[in-house]
Amino acid sequence: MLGQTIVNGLLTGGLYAIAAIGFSMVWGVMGIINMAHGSFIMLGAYVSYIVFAGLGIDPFASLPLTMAVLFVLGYLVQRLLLNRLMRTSLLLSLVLTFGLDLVLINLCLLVFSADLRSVNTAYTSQSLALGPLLVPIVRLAVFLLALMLAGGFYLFLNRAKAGQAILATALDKETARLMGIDPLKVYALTAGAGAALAGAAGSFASMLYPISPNMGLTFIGSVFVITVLGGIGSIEGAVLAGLLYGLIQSFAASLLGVNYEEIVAFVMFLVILVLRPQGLLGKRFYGEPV
Amino acid sequence: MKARGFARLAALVSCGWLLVLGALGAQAQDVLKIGVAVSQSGTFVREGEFLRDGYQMWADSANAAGGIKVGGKTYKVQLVTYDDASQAQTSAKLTEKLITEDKVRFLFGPYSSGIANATAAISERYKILTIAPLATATNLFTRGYQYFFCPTATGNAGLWPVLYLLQQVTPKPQSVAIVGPDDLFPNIAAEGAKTKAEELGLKVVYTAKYPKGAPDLSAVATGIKAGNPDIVLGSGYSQDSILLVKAMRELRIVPKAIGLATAVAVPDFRTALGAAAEGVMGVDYWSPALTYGDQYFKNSQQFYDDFSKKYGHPPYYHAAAGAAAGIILQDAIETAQSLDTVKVREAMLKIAGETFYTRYKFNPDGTNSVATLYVSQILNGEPKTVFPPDVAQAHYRYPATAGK
Repeated sequence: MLGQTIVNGLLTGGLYAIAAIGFSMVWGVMGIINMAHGSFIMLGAYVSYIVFAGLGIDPFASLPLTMAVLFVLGYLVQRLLLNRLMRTSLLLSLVLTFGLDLVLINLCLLVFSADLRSVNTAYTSQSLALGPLLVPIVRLAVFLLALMLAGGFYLFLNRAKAGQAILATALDKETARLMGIDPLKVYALTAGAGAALAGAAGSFASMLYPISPNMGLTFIGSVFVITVLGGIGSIEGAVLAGLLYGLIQSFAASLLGVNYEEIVAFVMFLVILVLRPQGLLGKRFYGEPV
Repeated sequence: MKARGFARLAALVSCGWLLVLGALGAQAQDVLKIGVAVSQSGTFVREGEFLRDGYQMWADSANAAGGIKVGGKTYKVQLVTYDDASQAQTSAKLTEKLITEDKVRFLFGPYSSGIANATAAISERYKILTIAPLATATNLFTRGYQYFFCPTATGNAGLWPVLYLLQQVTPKPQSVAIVGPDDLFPNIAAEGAKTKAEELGLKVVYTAKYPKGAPDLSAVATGIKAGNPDIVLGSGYSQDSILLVKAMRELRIVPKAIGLATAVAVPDFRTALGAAAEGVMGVDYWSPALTYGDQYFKNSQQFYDDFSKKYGHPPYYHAAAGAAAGIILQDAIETAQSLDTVKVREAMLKIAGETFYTRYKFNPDGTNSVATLYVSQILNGEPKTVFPPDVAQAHYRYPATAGK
């Protein structure tokens, strides 16, 4: 029971982590709290579903395509909409992304209806038995892929030129501009990357959960908590916080009862805000208006 | 804005009314007015419209057959319908208007227990008998209302038929886990199931209420696994029931039966779960496969066909419940041979019979003591009605995984 609780928590935490990284990045670099992030996850799930239902391609195989589609969407949203109100006020970007969220959900309701869809592969719901522990195959694969993606994105930010440009812009927009970096392009790149990661999370979720236009709403609360817990804009923080959040929920459910899952998670959220507002691994300059 | 909208509505309604008067004037026939305040806009627009169309199906059928016969007179049925905009307050006001201004003799109830809560207080005060087929919250029937009846099984009975079915098997299951989302109706159904299970001698080894919309139910599945029950009952909706069955499969939990308070016959459920849906049982109010019948609809298939032809889309249980409400009211009025509320109420408590939707025999509190929920089970990928036995399409499989 204890072992299974840890396995459940860690595996779910991996998915939470990948769902949160893009959101955290966008918030950290641009100071935008993207309320439509849940919808991006949902769209990722639908892209995976369409490719699976239409062409029979496994969501793991279509992952690059899903991420590419979402990258383009995130990039365009930033270029066409969000760049216009950068640094005006937090409230405006909240309103805009909240509106975008509603539009995306309702578009999906129109196109796909509220019917629940699913991706059922041959290995769906199969598990590996490790002694008394059962490790669901899809969840394990999702967990490993999520960690790999997070690692890859971390390397991209810290090694690649474009990644360095993103970090530089986050640190100091004016100096970055003097160094020949176009902040608006960097913002669009960041938003695209954030959406691509949301797409990956959606692709993973499509294999685990029923797909519906409202599915993003179940993620956005957790994503918010994880972002703040990990430190806004910190990738390693989001991964650590995601795993921790998964574990805490899992233990809360098994020790106190399932209905305490969310209570404990949000109490934790409040405690962090009070004791360590910068999060576990947050750096001082991330997420601050520059 | 609202006032103007209302004035316009009132104008429209009175114009319509004049037309009806004109048409009827020539024949001077007796008319029995029945009031209907249901949702035709707002949250419950879909359910409300189905319910309204169901009431109308009965009214049209009754009129086509000549009308309602009371003491040598024949009355044509006329429904006076308003839109309550899915608001309890509006519904209560319209109910008062139906009684005091439109002078309706009887009422059909609104959609949802929340709204019925408001209207029942009004109709009770004016002593107007109401049949509310979709107001199933248990607490509506513990207030001593005299004139409020619901032919559909109340919420606490949501999982009972599965338990009844499992009383028939040998060896009898010994233990049960009951889980569901923390929400009004699922809680009522889960509570009802727990009470009934204990009454039937089952040991309740695990219960859990998970947050409504919880994205993941592995923790619930882990708890069920630790309890190792013979039966798992879920009181949730489609989406979380799918999650639950998936999570149980991942942890290789194989109870002898899984019973859900949700319709397993809907395609969503089967496509979402694939092979994992096999053997799962679900409780539902109504299906076209039911073989009960009455004077207008010889079985549910006929209602399904007639309704589809008339409205261009197939009915859901809301419509079936609406038509059944009319058939039952007609039985009570014709048994009483009177339009007097008190006499019709006495008749309501005396009559027993069946409609295509359900059998009926009412308790003094207004609930239907023989309300028939039915159980279907996914057998070889197809949903089949397996309980109650008199309408079963196939024999249930127990343990659910046997022969797979």
